[in-house]
Order: sequence, then C-alpha cells, then structure tokens
Amino acid sequence: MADGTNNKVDVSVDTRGMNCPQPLIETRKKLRKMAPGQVLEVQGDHAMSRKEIPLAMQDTGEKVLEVKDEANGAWKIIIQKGG
Amino acid sequence: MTTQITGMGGTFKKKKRTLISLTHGTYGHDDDAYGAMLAINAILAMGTEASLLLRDDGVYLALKGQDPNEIGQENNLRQLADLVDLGGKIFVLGPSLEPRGIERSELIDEITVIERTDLVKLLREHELFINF
Amino acid sequence: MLDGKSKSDKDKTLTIILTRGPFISDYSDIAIYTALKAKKMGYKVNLFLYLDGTWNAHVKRDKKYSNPGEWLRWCIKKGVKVAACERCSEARDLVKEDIIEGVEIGGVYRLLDMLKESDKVLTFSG
Repeated sequence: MADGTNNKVDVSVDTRGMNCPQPLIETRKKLRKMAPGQVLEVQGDHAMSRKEIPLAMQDTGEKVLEVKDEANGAWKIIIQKGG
Repeated sequence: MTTQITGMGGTFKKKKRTLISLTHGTYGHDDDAYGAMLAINAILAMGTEASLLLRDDGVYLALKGQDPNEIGQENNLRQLADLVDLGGKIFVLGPSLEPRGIERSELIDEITVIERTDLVKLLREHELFINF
Repeated sequence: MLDGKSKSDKDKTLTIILTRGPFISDYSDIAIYTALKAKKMGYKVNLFLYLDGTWNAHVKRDKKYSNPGEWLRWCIKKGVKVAACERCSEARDLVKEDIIEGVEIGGVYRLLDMLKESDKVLTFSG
C-alpha cells in the first residue's frame, strides 16, 4: 500500500468525523498492534489532533514521516513505529 | 507527564503515573464517567501510564455483559474497551462490591480487585490522582 | 531534588480540574478560591474547566451579587491559566465570543499539558 509519496504504508486508520481525543486514541491502538518499523497512515479532520498526534508520537519514540494537509481541513499523518 | 531531573551524570526524564478514580455513574451524556474515561484514555494514548480505580457506584462500570445499546442508552462501554486496548490497568475496590451484592465473577476479566490496604500502595505508585 | 532540597511553593505547579457548573453547588466557589489562594502563595496555577465546569466561563456579565464568573475573571487577572475543554464547550454550544475573555478553549490535550507540569492535582467533581 502506498500513500502517493515514497512511504510504504502497512496499516491505515480513518479518524475523520471523530472528536478529540479519539483520533489520538485510535492512532495509539493501531500502533500497539504493529511491529517496529511498520508504517501507519492516519486520516483525520480534527484540527487540534493534527497538531497533537505528532507531539504525542515524539514522546514515545515513534517517527513522524509526514504530515499532509488536504482539502476541507482534512489531513494525513504518516508514522513509523519505533522500537 | 514528565519531569526533568538533573543530577550528576546527566539528565533523565521521569514520567508521572496518573490514577483516576471513578465513584459513580456509567450511563448518560457527558457525565463524570465519560469525562474520566476520556481523560484516562487520552493519557494512555499520549504514552504515559495511567490506572483506573473503580469504587463506590463506579464499580458498576465493570459489570460483564452490559448492553445498554439495546435500549438506546448512552454508555461508556466503548471507552472501557479502548482503555483495555491501550493497556490501561483497572482496579476495583473490593469493599465497594459486597454492599452492592456484586460478585467478582460478575465483573469483566480485565480487572484486579483490591482491598483498602492495597489502596495506599496504589496511591504511592502514582504521582497524580484525579477523582471523578 | 538530588541535593536533598525539596521544591519551594514558588517552584510548584497546581492544576485544578472543575467539572461542576456555577451556582448549583459550592464546588465552583471552592475551586476558584483555592486557585487564587495557591497563586497568592506562589504556586503556578492551572484551572481546567471540564464537563459542566465549562459553564463557569459563560458567566461573563456583571451581577449585583458575588458569582463564579466574577471570580474567574479575577483569577485570569491574577495569572491563573484557565482553559475550557473544547469538546465539552462545543457540546454545550459555548463559543469563544460568548465566554469570559482570557479563557482558552483547548482539547483534552490541553489538560494533559497541564498535568505534565503539575506537582499536585485537585479535582472538584463527584
């Protein structure tokens, strides 16, 4: 699975329509089940989560590969699981 | 939640563990139980340790086989499932069960029943305490 | 801490979480008075309005009697950082234009930021 850039995505999660902090919760739930090095794509449209998810990932050693802004406030965050 | 401690040999970060206690309510819109569950799940999702302590009427949250969706009642079961998925620990205060006629076997598997004497130990293991 | 000295009040941070609305009980009064007193003692103080606590930020008009809104405005003037939960505010139709100036609307993430820096947390709930 590819996301249109050079990042190969292993797992995706769609958080569009969710309110804070559910996008972060769904992101973390997926990451817990992934192996180190695997790549997660998070789709969302909650403005505050777009800022907070990358910060939360830094705290736990995950690598944010990309944050992409899309139309109508939507965004995608590509994260590589650390460890 | 981290504090930076600087000492000889460099700096290391110490994360603060949070204990959230819930004493009542499991159903309703935006009630205390919802607030408690959202807070603990957010803390866990941020990568910090957090535990949920159910006491007094809060123990009802841990009852097995609840299905309030059948009667269209807002509930926190999804948030409870998220808590388990995020690796959070759930403690139930034993002395809150007996007066309510609840047996351990009626509770979900993912909990640990503790006695009052264990409560002090639990409080010592957590740096922050939030009570709902 | 490693040199044997404990933090003085001036280095400590207190976060207060308030989940009850104004008037229905004395929770708002006690929470806000505590915030002001702690600030006076030299603590850095955060006040997070959560669930029905967000209603306190809505009390912005002057009244002929003492009320939590008046005290909340005083808190902000004295340097207490006051934030209201975004989701809770949205659920109650509270918007920036309708609430006390200086109250920040932030998500649960804002609460987590406050907790990160806290030495103690007091909750007015239940």
